[in-house]
Amino acid sequence: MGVTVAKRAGEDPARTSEHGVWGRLIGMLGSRGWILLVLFLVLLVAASIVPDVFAPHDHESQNLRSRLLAPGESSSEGLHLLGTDSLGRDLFSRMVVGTRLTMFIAVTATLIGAAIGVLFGLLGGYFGGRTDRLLMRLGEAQTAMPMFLVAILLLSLLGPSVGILLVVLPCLVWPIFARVVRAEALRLREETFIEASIATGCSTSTILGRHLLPNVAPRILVLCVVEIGHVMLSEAGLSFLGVGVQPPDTTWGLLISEGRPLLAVAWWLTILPGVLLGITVLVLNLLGRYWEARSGAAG
Amino acid sequence: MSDAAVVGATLETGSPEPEAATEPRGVLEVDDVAVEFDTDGGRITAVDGVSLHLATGETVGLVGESGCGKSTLARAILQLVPMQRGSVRLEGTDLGALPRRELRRMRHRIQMVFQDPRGSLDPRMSVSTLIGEPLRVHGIGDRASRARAVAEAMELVGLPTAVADRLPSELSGGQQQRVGIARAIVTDPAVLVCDEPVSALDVSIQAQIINVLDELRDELDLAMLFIAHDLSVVRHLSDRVAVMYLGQIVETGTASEVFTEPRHPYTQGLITSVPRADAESAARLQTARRLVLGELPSLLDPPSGCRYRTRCPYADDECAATEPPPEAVDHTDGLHSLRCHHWRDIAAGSGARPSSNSQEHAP
Repeated sequence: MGVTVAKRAGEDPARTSEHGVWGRLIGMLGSRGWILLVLFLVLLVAASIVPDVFAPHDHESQNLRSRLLAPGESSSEGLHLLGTDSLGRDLFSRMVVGTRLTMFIAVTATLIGAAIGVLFGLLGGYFGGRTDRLLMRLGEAQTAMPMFLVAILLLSLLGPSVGILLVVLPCLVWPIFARVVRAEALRLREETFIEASIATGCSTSTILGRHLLPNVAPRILVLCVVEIGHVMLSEAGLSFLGVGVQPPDTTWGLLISEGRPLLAVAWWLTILPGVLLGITVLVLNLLGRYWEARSGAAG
Repeated sequence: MSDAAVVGATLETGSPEPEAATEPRGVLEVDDVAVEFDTDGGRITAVDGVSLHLATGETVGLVGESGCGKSTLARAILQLVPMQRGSVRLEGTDLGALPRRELRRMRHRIQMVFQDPRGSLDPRMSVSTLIGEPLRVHGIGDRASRARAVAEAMELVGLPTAVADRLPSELSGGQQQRVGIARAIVTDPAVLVCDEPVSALDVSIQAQIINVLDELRDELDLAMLFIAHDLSVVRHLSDRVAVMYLGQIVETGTASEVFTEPRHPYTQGLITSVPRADAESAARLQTARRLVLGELPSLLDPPSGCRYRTRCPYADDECAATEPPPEAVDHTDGLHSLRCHHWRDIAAGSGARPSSNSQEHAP
């Protein structure tokens, strides 16, 4: 593999800039590997939109005679590719159906966080001074707080719901967006084209929206992809702790949680949703970093 | 250049001309502008009391070494850097006194062409979007008329219609600067400030861009402030010339006067240091070496008295003690003025002998 990496790195200097595990993983992808990653995500999105196409069984149909079947075993209803749970429900079907809410929460929460972070980052980076200090202190204060604990507190006080998850999860990611966008805005505001647009007569909102934002957009997109994975993990964590998504809704995190008491007798109930979650987060990370490396080489 | 323009275009540094109020005034009046900056080494005065007036259709060339404050002056005129004192009047409106919003509305009357053509264009905007932006932000015309104006501006600066949808990075340096010029003239401004518009370009392209500016000026009746360190470019374009040294204008006059009969030792040095392919060249360069000595002094610690004295072969104690006021050259109706205690002696050939000892006057 070392040879492959070296050869690929020679082709694309951007990839040599990133060392360590990520660099090697991205090296393994080669120049076409990202197509596989995108394909995987397309499958996930498709499963969220039309789960019935992918799910072989009704995810809610219970059958006590076919409880806790191991992966590959069949019941009267047919093959259970990934086994069944303690109520005899098909795990694969439940994972497929859980994809929708998992994706919805992760994507929506990331977009909300990104919107807040981008706005604060642009304002802070462009204006600097007091505005910048205030916004960045706010971000730091929030980063310093153990947000996961705050989230648990909030969710247990107000009762768990998807709506509150969409308030709590964006709080975890906006400071990251704000930091990245601020750094870019700080750099860009010194560029002559910003001075030129002031001289042209652009208003501040025009400069922020039409000049700064399009120039930071590629970085925001890359960050979004990576952060969706992180938010997904956080949601799974909260759901696992019982303060996230509640049955009968289901997400991958909740499936892991439901399987946990049976870990000794039915390992697949915990491990398989976990593996899916892990792979998804990995794919999102790889894709984000791969694009970042590519755009770095182009720019 | 019309006579009225010449009269209204008196250019000086320091005290305003007494009759100024009664004379027809220029489209751009810069009076006693000073700009200060905080640097790591302390506070510097990058522009120190510069005044200059431009009449419609007139071109003033501003020359000087790098770091003399030319670009800062341009930015102060456009109100892109704050002024410590002085005023900039555009068509009678004091730009410095305007609230931000009002200033923004005035901006389509005064536009700027930047030194770095690529850097001055948003890398994510297409050529037509870039050129149309001033029209859009000032709400001039509707979509269709803006498209026509953009096409017209592109034709004026010599851009083929095929590049309208390209990004700046897909253009050559010359084309990029043409985009910069098209954007600056699309709103039909009264004043165009060009900050070294060709110094980042290939020599072969420079002439083309100069010609574009030359034609536009006549066609649009632009008042133009043309900043450069290349004297031949300035000579070609300018009606009048102002020579800047360490934040001050040391000599100003009509282009022909300043170039054929420079009075200030610094101007003499600048002009004779232009290499020429003729027999005199070597001798002239020798003179130039005697006339401009050493390096530009630091703005952090400008010389006392005359700012040029540390490099001037004619400098004496008077130069160190008192700052020379702007003084009009006789028989030029105040059109030609300079700041030098000894210019009459130098012109008469009886100034202190240029010698290597002159460095002793330096602090």
